[in-house]
Amino acid sequence: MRRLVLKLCLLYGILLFSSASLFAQEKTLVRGTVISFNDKQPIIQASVIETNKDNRVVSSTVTNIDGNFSLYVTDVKNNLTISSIGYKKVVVSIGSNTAIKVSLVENTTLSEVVVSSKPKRTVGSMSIDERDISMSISRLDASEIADLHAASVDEMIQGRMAGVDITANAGDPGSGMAIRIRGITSFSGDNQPMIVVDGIPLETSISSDFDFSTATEEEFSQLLNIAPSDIKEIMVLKDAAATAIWGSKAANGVLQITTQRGTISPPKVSFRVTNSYYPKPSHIPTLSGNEYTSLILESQLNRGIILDPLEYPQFAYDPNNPEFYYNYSQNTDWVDAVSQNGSAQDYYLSVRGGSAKVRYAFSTGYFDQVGNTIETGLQRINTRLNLDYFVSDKLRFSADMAYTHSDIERNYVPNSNSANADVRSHAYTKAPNQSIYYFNEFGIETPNYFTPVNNPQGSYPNVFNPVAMARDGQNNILSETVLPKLSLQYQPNLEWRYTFDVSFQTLNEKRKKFLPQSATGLPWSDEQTNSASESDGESFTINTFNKLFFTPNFANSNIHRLVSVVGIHSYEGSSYSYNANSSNLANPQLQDPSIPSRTYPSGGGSSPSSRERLVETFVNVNYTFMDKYTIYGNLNYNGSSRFGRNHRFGLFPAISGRYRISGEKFMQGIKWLDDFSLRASYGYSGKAPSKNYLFYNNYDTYDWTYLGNNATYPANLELKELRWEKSTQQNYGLNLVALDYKFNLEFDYYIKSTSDQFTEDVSIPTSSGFSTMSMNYGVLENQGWELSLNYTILKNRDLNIDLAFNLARYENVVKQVHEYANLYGGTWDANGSYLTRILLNQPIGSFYGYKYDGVYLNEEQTIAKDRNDQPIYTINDQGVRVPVYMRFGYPTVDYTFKPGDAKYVDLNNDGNINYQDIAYLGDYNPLFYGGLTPSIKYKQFSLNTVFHFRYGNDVINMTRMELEKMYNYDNQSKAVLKRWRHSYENPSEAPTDLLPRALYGEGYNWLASDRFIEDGSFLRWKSATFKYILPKEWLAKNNISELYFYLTVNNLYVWTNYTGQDPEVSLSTDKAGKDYSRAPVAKSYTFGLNISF
Amino acid sequence: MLALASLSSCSEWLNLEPEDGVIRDRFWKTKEETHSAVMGCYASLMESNMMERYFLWGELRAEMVVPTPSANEDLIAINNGEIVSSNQYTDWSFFYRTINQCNTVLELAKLAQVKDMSFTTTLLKQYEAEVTCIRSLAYFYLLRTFRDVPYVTKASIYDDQKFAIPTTPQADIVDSIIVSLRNVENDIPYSHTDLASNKGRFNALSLKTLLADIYLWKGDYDNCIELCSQVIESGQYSLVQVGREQVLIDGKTPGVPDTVFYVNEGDVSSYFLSMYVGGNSVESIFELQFGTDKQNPFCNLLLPGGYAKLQAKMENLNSEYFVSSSIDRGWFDMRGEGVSYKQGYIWKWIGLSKDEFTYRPIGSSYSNWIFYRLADVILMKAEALTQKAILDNNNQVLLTDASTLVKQIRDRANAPESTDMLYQHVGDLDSKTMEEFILNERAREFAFEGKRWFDVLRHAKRDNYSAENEHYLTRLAILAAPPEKAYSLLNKWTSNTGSHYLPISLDELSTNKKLVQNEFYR
Repeated sequence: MRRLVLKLCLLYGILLFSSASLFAQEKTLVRGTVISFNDKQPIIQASVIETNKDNRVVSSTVTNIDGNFSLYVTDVKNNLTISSIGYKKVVVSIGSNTAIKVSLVENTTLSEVVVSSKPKRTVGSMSIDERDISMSISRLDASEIADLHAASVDEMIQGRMAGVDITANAGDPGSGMAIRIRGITSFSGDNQPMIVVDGIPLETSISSDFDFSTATEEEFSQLLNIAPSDIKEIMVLKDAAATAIWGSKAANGVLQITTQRGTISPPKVSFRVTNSYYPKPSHIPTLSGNEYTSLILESQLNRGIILDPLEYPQFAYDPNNPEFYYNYSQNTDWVDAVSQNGSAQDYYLSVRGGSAKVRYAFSTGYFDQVGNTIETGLQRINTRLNLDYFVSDKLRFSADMAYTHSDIERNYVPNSNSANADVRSHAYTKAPNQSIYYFNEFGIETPNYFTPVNNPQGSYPNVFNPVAMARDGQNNILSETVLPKLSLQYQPNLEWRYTFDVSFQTLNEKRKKFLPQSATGLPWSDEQTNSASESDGESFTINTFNKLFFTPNFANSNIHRLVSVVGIHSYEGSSYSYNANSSNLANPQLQDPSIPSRTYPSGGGSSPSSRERLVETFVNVNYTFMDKYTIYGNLNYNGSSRFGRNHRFGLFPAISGRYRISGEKFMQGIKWLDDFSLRASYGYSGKAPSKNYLFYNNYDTYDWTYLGNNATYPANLELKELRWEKSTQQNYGLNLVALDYKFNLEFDYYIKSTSDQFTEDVSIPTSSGFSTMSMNYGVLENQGWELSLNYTILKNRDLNIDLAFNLARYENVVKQVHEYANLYGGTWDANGSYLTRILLNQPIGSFYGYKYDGVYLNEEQTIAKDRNDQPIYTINDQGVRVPVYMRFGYPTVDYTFKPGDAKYVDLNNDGNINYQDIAYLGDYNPLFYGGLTPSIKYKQFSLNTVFHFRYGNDVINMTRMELEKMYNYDNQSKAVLKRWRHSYENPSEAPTDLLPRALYGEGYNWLASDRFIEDGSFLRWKSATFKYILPKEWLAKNNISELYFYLTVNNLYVWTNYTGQDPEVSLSTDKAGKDYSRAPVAKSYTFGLNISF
Repeated sequence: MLALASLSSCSEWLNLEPEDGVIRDRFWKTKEETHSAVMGCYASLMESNMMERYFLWGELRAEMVVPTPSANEDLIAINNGEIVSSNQYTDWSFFYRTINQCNTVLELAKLAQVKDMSFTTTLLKQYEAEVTCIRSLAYFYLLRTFRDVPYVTKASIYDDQKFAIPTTPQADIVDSIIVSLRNVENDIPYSHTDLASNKGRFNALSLKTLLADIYLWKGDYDNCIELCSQVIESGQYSLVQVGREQVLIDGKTPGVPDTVFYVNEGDVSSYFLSMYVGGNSVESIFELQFGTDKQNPFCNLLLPGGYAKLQAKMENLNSEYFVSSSIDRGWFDMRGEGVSYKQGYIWKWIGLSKDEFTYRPIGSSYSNWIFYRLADVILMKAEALTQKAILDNNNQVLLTDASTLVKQIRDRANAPESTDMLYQHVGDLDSKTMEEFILNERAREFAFEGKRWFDVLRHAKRDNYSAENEHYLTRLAILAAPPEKAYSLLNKWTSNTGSHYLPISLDELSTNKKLVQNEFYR
C-alpha cells in the first residue's frame, strides 16, 4: 500500500509540473525594467508572463534585484502580463517593442472582494442560482460555523440544520455520531448519509466485513476526518431530486462539504490554537462495599439461601482469613476509578492565496484529546492542499490532496454482546467491596491488580478488573487516509464546459488489541490469556467523473436561464485486510501477535478481501423561465456489481419545480416581500445492498478438520431476487424571504416511501439450514416536515443580532412486511426484555411491556383481585377456603408473587401476569427535534450560542434497570437503599419511592415495564462562544490582519426530566432507544486564539 | 446514447466474483470436493451448539445433573421444568444446518460425478449413504426433543425457495428416516480403512445400530432385535473387559458365606482411558472424532475451577444408581466415582485419569463424543426382548435372554447386589421388573452420555402413555427437580404429554408462520 501511495504522489507531481513546462519554447528576446510608480524604485521578483489571446501562459520570468528582466517570447502578437504582489497588474502588447519599461501602481485594496447579487449553489456539480433551486437543501456557510469549536464536522452541525438528526454514540473520543437525514428509513442496517467532499464521495470505512468479528457497531462509524476550519460550506441534500445526482449511495441523503480554496491575494497565514478542558463528569452514585454486602446477603436470604462463609469468604469479613479480609472489605468506587479529567488541544495553520494563474490553499492541523474514561483518547493530524492552475481562460487544472492520520485509543471491550461490555458500564456493576489492587496477607497494598480468576460475580468475560483492563489492555485504531484528486476543466466558450475528475482514496486502518492477564486473572494456559490481535485493512477507491455542461447564454437572462449537465461516474472500491491473533504471550508487555507465543487459536489468521464497482450515468437539466418558473429534471441509470445479472441496472428519474409567486404582477406591490416561492419535487432513488457478492452461493471451509480432512459447507443462499432498494420521495416546500433579505423562512413537507428495503440477515425459518438471509422486503413510509428560519433582528454598524431556528418532525409507518419478518422482538416471560413489534401501519421504534404498579407491600396485596377489585378465594383439596395469589406466567413458568415483589397491572384481571397484560409503553421517535442558534455581535465582541433539543421521545433507561434489579451479584445504585425489607401492614406507611425486594436469581422484579421508561425530551445548551476581535486599526499597525480570542463552553446545561446520565441516546439495533450509560457527552471549556497575517 | 452503449459494455466490468471464497458454480467439480462436503457434514456435528444439545437435551431434564450457581438462567429453567419458548436451548437451527448440508450433498454430488471421470458411482452411492445416516441421526435427535418438526429433504440453495414448512408428525418422520436408511443399507461400506474413520464415519454396522435405536423408539421390536443381533454377532466390537475376582466372605447368616466381587483397579483405569480419554475403544461403534483443532464445549460446561455449569447430582447417584453393596463396601460399581463422576464433577468428558484428580486443561477439551457403543446395542436388545415378552405374556425364554444380556453388562461393571433387581431371584421372571431393571441399568451404564431423558421418555410414552408407565415420570420428577418444584413439574408432565417435549423456539415461530406450537406451550 505504501508503494502505491508513493506512486500516486509521483504521478501527482509529474502532472503538476508537466502542465507548467509543456508549452515552453523560445523565439524573440524581450528585455525590460519594472519600477514602482509611487517611488520609482525597481520591483524585485515581479512576474513577467507572456500570455496568448486565451490568456494561456506561454513563457514567463521574474525581475532581478534591479527590476530588470529578459524573456524569449514565442510570438510577438502575444501580451506580456506584469504583476507583483501589492501592485496592480499591467498588460502590455509586445509587437516590435523589445525593450519594455513598466511602472506598477500600488494596490491599496487587498481584501478579496467578491460581489455577487445572485449567489450560486453547487448542487451535485451544477451551479444553480440560489433563486432557481427547487429541491430540498439545507446549508451552512463558513461564516456560520467559523465561531464554533468542535472536534468534528458532525458535532459542528448538530442542531443546526432542519431535518438532520445527529446523536452522539458516546462521549468517548472518536466515537462518532449517528447522522440521520429525515429519520429512520429502513428496518435495519445503514441509515447514515453519503458524504461528499469537493465533489468526491468519501469512504469512511474500509468495508463492511472488515474486522467484523470484533468491532462493535459504533466502531464502524468513522469520524469525518476533515478539519472544521477547512470547511467553506456544508449542504445537506434531502429530497430525491437533490440526491439523485449522487446516484445509488445517496438514498439516505447527502452531506456535501466544500472546502476552502485559494483566491487571488497575497499569502494569508492564519493560525489558531485552542485548549479545552473536560472536567470529570459526575456519575450515578453506587453502593459502598458495606451496603453492597448487606444487599447481597439479603437477596440470598430472600431466596432462602444462607451464604456459607466458607464457600463465599468474600462476604464474610473474617479477619482470620486475611487474604479475603483485606481484598474484600474495601469501599471502591469503580466508576470514579476509571474516570478522569479530560483535555484537548487543537492547532491549526492555514496559508491561502494566489495569483491570476495559480491559487492555493494549504492547511495543517493537529488535534489531541484525552477522554473522560481512563486510557481513552484521540490524536489526529490533518493536512489539505488545494491547488488551482489556470493554464488559460479555457483550460484549468486543479490538484487537491488531503491526508489524515488518526490514532484512537479505546479500552478493550471483552464481550461486545453483553450489557456491561465496556469498562465504564462494567465499573458500575463491579462489586465495590473488592479492591483494585492486591493486598497481601499483612494487609499491605501491592502494586499488582487484584483479579481473582472467578468470584461470586462470575469469571471472565463477565468479570474483569476494569482499571486493569483500561490500563494494561489495548484497543487502538490507527488510520491513514490519503485522498488525491485531479481535475481538468476545459471551457472552449462560455456555453460549453467539460470537466474530468479523478480521485483515488486509500484508507488504511490498523486495529491493535491486547487482552492482559492482569485484568482477567485467567490461568496462563487459557486461550484468552495475554491474547493479542491485530487487523490491518486497506481500501482503495477510484472515482472518475466525466461531465459535459451546457449553459446557453441567453440574451436576456431574466427570461431564460438554463443549466444542464450530462455525465458518467465510475467507481471501483477494493479492500483487503489481514487479521492475526495469538495468545499466551509471555509477558503483558509483549502485545503484538507476531511475537512467538504458546497458542494460536483456531482461525488465528484471516485475510478477507472484496471489490465493488459502480457505473452511473446521469442527465440533469435546470431551466428557469421569466425568473418565476423553474423546472429541474434528473435521470439516472445506474449499474452495480453487487447484483446478479438480472437486477444489475436501475433507472431512477426525478423532477422538481419552483414557482415564484412573488414574481407575479399582483405581488409586486408588497414591498417587504423579497421572495415567495412554492416548490415541489417527485423522484425515485435506488440503493444497492451494503455487501458484496451476496448473490453468490458461497462455500466456506470449517475452521476445523474432520479426521484430518478439509470440511466445507454452503455458507449462504444464492440471492437470485436481490434487487435495488427503491425509494420514492415527494417534497413540497415554500421559501419566504422578506424585510430586505433579513427574514428567511423555509418549510418543507415530504413523504418518502422506501420499498424493497434491503435488509441484512433477516431471520428465516431455520429448517432451511440457514438462520438468516439478506433480502429486499417491506415498505416503510416516512413523512414529516421541516422548518428553518433565519432572522436578522437587528443590524447596524455596531450591533448585530441574528436568530436561527429549526424544527422538524417525522413519522415512519410500516406499510408492508415480509412473511419472514421477525415481527416480535423480545419475550414476555424474561426479566429485562422489552418487546418490540413491527406492525402494519404502525411506526418502527415502539416498545411494549408491563405496567408497573409499585411493590406488593404485604401478603394481602398479593391475593388476586377480580374485576371489582375483590380478593379471589378458592376451595382447596381439603375443602378449606384459601386465597388465590397472583402468579406469573401460569402454567409454563408459574411463579407466585410474594410480598416485596414488583407489582404489575393485571390488565385482564385473571390473576395471572402474562403476555395478555402487555401494553404499549413508548416510542423512540421524537415528536419534534431541532435547534436554536441566537447570536449577538457588538462592536468587537460577539456571542454565539447553540441549543439543541428533542421532544417527546421515550428512552429505556437500561442503566437504571441494571442498577436496580437486585437479582445477582452486581453492584447497584444508591436508589436500592430504599428497597422493601419488611411488610407494611398499613400501606400508607410505605415510602413512595420504595423499590421491590432484593431477590437473588428468582422472581420477576425487573420485567420490561414502564418503570424504566422515561421521557427523553431534552433541551441542551450545546455551546456558547464568546469572542473578542481586536480592533483592525491596532492590528494594522502590527501587520496583523486579524486576531481574536474566544472562550467556548460546550454542553453547558441540559434541561430534562431524564434521570440517567444523558438523554441523548441513539437508536439501538432492536429499534428502541436504550441507554446503557456509556461515557456521557462531557462539559468542556475551550479557550482559543486565532491570528492571521 | 453514447453513455448507454458504453454501459452495456460495462456490464462485464460489473461482473465480480469473490477472491477469497468458492462459489457454487465452481464447486461440485471433482470427487475431492464432494469428499470435503461430506466431511463438512460430519464436521458440522462437532459444532459446539450441537455438542451442547446432544448432552443437554438428553440430561438436563433428567435426574443425574444439577446446575451450579454459575449456570445460566436457561439451564436452570430447564432443570426446574420452567421451560419457555425463548429458552436458548430450544434453538434447533444447528441441526437443520447439518440436515441442509446433507441434503445439499444428496442433491448436488451427482453433478460432480458427471464431471469427474474418476468419481465412481459406488463412491457417490457411499457418500450419499453416509450423509443419509447423518441426516437421520439429526432428525432422530429433533423428533425425540420436539416431537413434531419440519421434515426437509430438499437442499436450500436459492432465496426464492419456500422455507416456511409445517411440522410433520413424529411417527411419520420415524417411518421416513427408517425408509431412507433401509434404502442406503447396501451402499455403505462394511468398514472404513483406518480405525479412526471406522469409528468416526458411518459404516454398515453403525447404520444398523442407529436403525435399531429408531426401531426401539418406534416400538418395532422384531426389527430392533434383528439389527442388534447382527451388530453383536458381527465380531467387530467387544466390551472393554475388566477383570474381577470372586471372593467368599463371612455372610450375615453364620456358616453361609456371601459372594462378593473385587474389581481389578488397573483394568478400570485402562477401561476409563481407552473408552473416554483415548477414544475409539474396541466397544465404540460411532463416535465424533475431535482432533486438536477443535474443542468440544465441555470445558465451558463441566470443568472444575469455577467453570462448571453442571455437576453430577450426587444425592441421586449415591442413593439410586451407585448404591454401595450392603454386604461389603469393597464391592462397588466401577462406573461410579472416577468414571462417571469425580468429586461431584461430571468426569467422563473432562477427566484424564480415573484415579487422579487431573482433568483436561482449558484449551484442550478434545474428548470424542460417543453416540453408540456395543453396551448400548446389548441393552437395546435386552429392552426389545423384554417388550416382546410383555406382549407375549411374560415369555420366559425372551426374558431369560434379556437377563443374560443385562448380566453381561453388569458383570463387566462389577455392579453390586444392591442395584440388582433380580438378586437372589427365584422362579419366573417378571417382565415389568425386567423393564425397570434395564432402564436403571442404562442410567448406570450411560450416565452423562446424553441418553437418560430419552430413555425415560421412551418408557413413559410406550403403549400410548399407558397408565402403568406413569410411575417412571413420577419418580423422575421427584428426583430431577429441586424439591419445591417437583410437584408442579409432575403436574405438568402428567397433565399434558406435550410438556415432555421442548417448545418450538419463539424466533422460529415468528419467522415460520406455518408452525404450530406444541399444545402445552400455547
